[in-house]
Amino acid sequence: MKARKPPSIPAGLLKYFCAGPEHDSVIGDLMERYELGASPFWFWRQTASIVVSTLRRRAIHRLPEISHRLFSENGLVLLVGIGALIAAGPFALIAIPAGILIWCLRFLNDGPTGPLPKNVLPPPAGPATARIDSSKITVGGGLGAGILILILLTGLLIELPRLRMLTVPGLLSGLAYAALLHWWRSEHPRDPRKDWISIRPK
Amino acid sequence: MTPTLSNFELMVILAIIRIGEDAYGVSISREIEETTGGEVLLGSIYDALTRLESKGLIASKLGEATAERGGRAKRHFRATPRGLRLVRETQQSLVKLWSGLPQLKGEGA
Repeated sequence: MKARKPPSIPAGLLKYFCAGPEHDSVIGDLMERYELGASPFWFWRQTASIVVSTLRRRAIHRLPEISHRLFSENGLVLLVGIGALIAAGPFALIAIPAGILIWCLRFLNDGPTGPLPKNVLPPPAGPATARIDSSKITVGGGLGAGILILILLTGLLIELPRLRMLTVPGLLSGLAYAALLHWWRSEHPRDPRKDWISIRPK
Repeated sequence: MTPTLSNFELMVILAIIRIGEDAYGVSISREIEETTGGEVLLGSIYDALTRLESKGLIASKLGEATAERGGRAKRHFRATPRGLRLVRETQQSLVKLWSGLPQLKGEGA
């Protein structure tokens, strides 16, 4: 007898979220009951419950790591976020989800990132010391600072509407500055020894 | 410390005891559905099974894989002596709480 094919979208969700061998039993149970005549709607509901419970378990399992990152590594981000909330009022409704999105993308992007691009020099070998040079802020840091400045400027413009005339020259000068940075980056290969935080031989 | 059982966990462990040897996800969900008359989500059942196993109240082992399950193995569950003891204690506590309640004797309660 030919096996009944389950709905493709929930089957894809199961494949994506519950790929490990620890989910074999529950997916097998789901398939068995579907094979015995359950409706596609039933399959959808059961899949949703399995995926939600899997994600909840993973979140609980990773809660210490998430809270550690949020309150120690990204404690400054949290403080800035609270400050922005107080300063910008309703605009924080946009800024906070944007900050959370950036943090999530950074979190997901952790781990090996593959070979270095062509214009990046490899880090020096041998015993090393850490060096911080605040004048060489990375693009991520620049983006964060830009968002903060935008929030503060928006708050300022709400308080002082006459300053709105400065918006256009401000935007134009910002764009010119970004173009200058882009040109500088393309002309000057990045040297990890001069990064804002880098490893230097003793 | 003696672990406690939620209402749903108690239902799941009772279903495992009632089914006996062939207690796995499908048979447990059917047993609960037939008893309560409502639909049960497999995700909730597996959540409860994971909690019960972590408390040492049930144990599991992998069974055979069949074609109707897409080649996936069944996980069979059984109550451990600790689980059986806790169910018995829970039953005694509940019977004590139930006894002597005039409100629950008549249909109009």
